[in-house]
Amino acid sequence: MLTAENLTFGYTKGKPLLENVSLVVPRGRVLGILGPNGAGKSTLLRLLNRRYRPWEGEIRLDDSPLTQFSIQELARRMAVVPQNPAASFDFTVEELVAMGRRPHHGLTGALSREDRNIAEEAIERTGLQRLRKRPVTLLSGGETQLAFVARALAQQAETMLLDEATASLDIKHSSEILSIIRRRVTEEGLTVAAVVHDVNVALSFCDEIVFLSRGGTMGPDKPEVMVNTNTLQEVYGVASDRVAVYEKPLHVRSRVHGAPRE
Amino acid sequence: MSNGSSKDNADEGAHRWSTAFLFAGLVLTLLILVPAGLAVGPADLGMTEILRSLGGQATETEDLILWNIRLPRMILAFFVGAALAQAGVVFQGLLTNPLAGPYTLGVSSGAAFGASIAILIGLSMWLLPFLALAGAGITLFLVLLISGARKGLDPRSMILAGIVVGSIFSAAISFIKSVSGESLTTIVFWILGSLSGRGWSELAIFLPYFGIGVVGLLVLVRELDLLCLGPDHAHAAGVDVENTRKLLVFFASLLAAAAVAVSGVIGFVGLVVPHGLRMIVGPGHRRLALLSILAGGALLMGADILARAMSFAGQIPVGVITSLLGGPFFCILLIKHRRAPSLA
Repeated sequence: MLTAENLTFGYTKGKPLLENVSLVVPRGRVLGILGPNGAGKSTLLRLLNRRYRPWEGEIRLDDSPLTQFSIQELARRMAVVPQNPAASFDFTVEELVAMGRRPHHGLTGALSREDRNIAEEAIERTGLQRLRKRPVTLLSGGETQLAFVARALAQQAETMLLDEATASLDIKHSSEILSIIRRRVTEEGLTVAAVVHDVNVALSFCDEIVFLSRGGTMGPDKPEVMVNTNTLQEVYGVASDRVAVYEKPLHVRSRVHGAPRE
Repeated sequence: MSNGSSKDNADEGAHRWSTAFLFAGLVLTLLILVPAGLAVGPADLGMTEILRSLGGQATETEDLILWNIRLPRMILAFFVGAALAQAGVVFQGLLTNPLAGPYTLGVSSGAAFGASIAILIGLSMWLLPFLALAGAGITLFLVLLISGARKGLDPRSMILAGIVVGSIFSAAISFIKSVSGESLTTIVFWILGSLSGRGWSELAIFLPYFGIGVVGLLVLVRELDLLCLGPDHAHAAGVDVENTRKLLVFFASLLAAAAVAVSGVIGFVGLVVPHGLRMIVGPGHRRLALLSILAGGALLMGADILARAMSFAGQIPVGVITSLLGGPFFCILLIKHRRAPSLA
């Protein structure tokens, strides 16, 4: 379980980007973090991963304050799939995935047989067997993202943070990545906090949604409760006659459509 | 990646094969370079004299030239080359940019500036590395300050800042050179980078710094694999980003500064060796760091032998040779790989 209480943080003194942000992600659930561009969603993930420390407030992972863990300990419990990951230098897919074993290494950094098996499993789960020898620099956007998902899986953490992990991916790769993660959630009780750009993705992927907009948070609650024309207007500032929310059109969940202004 | 075992690991096998092959090749090269390094020089002493000296039948002068001039100079060439190449691996990995190196970041010029001051005020040789280190430190501080490193290391602005700060220090060295008069030739040799006249005492000064730097880097270098994916990734995978970066910069600068302190500014070794190795064995930094010791050492030994072999043309600083060889080589690399994504 991942909880954040009254987080306040900003990059410049006296100018908080996040104020009094609170959220709870129960074990084995997926929380979607939504909000307009610049609301501080990625920053919130960085706080949750302790990349930065909040000015105020506390984050707890399974009831222990985040500050109690060393960076390495934290990495054993929490993995991150980044937004539009870019690989510099041509590491192969296999090498990249194996880097996920880093937090489990000793001083020498040598990979054990077990490390290799786990990395191998992550490659299989993401269907990257065919590309294992390919330098990451030569992969397509979707394949690169899959490789970074595999790296995060190899980390074998119980909590995973996704930063717009499927933004800019085509529908196939996007659904592939989401179902891989969903399976970990159902089968292993993975806890997920995901920054989601696309409201429709959030509706189909997340168990709960929290809105982040200037001034704090709304929610978290069930997607169908959170997403309606009023909340969308409030959070994204889109006029309520410009969006339509369809209730379960594909026997899944609600769909949202934005229309261009005439 | 070491000890992989599955059958379908053909490519990785190839990688490791080329690592092993390269390792063997480098060791072999060194085995050839050692007698060559002993046999080449202005004094007419060749293999016969070496064998005679090993048999204890050479004259005192021959012994002196072989074991107190040529041998230490050769060993120093190896370690200085190794240090520069290691520093290059680290700077390139940290900045994820194959153009980074102790030279392009201004660290070498800064160290040379410190060394020039030491020469100018006539400090003892043992203090020289400290001033070189201080010069390197000040340069790094300025480069980080100018490039706005508080928001994270930005390779492009760091290299630009490095070139600017380096130029300023080079100009400052020229200024010192102009006002110093007597110590002029020493400083000139410093700037061009030379191993001539260096012996056991320089080696003794250099080795402690080399030891500390290399051990520190070999422990930390594996983190570079993750660091070059970006600080957020590295952190998420358990790397203490800020401290690791600081230590890596410190150890790499220590190596570069110590190298400058004993041999002046020798360009291109720190640029070409890591880049060339990465093309052969891939970007894994542990592999690169280990191989760069041998490759950098062999390269500078070879270049120094060449410099000595050409001594009929007067004293040629080894830095001139490495730049003459390394410059065009690097141009070829750039042209060949300018479309490669790894250079983007």
